[in-house]
Amino acid sequence: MQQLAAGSMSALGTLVERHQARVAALAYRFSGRWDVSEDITQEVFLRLHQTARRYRASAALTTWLYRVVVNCCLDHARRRKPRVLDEMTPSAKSEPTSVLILDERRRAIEEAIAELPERQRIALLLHRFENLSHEEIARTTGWSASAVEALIVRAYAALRVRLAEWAGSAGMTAADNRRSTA
Amino acid sequence: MSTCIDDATIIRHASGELDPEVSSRLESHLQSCERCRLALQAQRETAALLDAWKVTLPADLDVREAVLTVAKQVSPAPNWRPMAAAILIAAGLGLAAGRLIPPRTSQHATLVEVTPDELMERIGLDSLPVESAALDQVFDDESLAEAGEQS
Repeated sequence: MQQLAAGSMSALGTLVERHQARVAALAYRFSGRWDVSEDITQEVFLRLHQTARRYRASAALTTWLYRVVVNCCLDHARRRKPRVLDEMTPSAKSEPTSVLILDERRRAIEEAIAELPERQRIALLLHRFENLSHEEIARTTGWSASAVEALIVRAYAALRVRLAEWAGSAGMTAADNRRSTA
Repeated sequence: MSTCIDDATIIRHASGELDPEVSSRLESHLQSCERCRLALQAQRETAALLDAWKVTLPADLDVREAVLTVAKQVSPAPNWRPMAAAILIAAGLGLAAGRLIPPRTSQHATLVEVTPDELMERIGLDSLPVESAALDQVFDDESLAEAGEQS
């Protein structure tokens, strides 16, 4: 980080190599599109480069990284209007049923997450896929602990309803879900 | 734990965020409360569904070169604090210097002792008709004293 703050391009390149996959995956889960994810990922590392001098060694690097990712995602969402997910590649007719079910389930999850308000979405993604605790999410985002708690509760509740609707319409039971995820 | 568990605590328990002691008390409650057991089960099933959502990055997604290209063109934003501090110190020194060093008089300014008549002659007022009575009225001691009180 000191090298990055001093303007080292080598340090910046190393930072990108180490963290771009994680950043891109989070950005994709937030935006639903790989082209948008790529834009956000670039923006994240450029902002890190621009603000490296403000980084305090007392803060964890990942906290700082996540904060920039969150800000870039929310900024991007404010600039873009309707969220359109990437089109799914049509499965060949010869695909086994289990693969089709997995594709449909993935689509249902993506759509359910896309329907969440942005702050609920980011809180849920950080909690579920980045394994951040409530306190870590509060530190990362700068939101209050009670706000984070409320966002996560509402996000999971909304997803529960939405995915239950999908499972019902797909004729799947909870047992089917457990079998297919095992 | 006699009262049911709130949703936030259910989520924390399902994701392993609670202290072991708190989790243990929760488990005791769950043994006798079907509502909370069902809530916990629903949370775990939702979490399992989400966990099954795997994301595979496109093989050609690599922003390293693009980031480095732009970063080389744009220098990092200057840290304004040291600059601001330097400006403030310089301003402070300038003020202090201003008080210690007497103002330098202009090399063109000269102090000349002139009489009122000589001054009037120099600025061309000596040829203007003057009503001495009016002047007397303006410049008598009484009116000057009044002007002094008003100022």
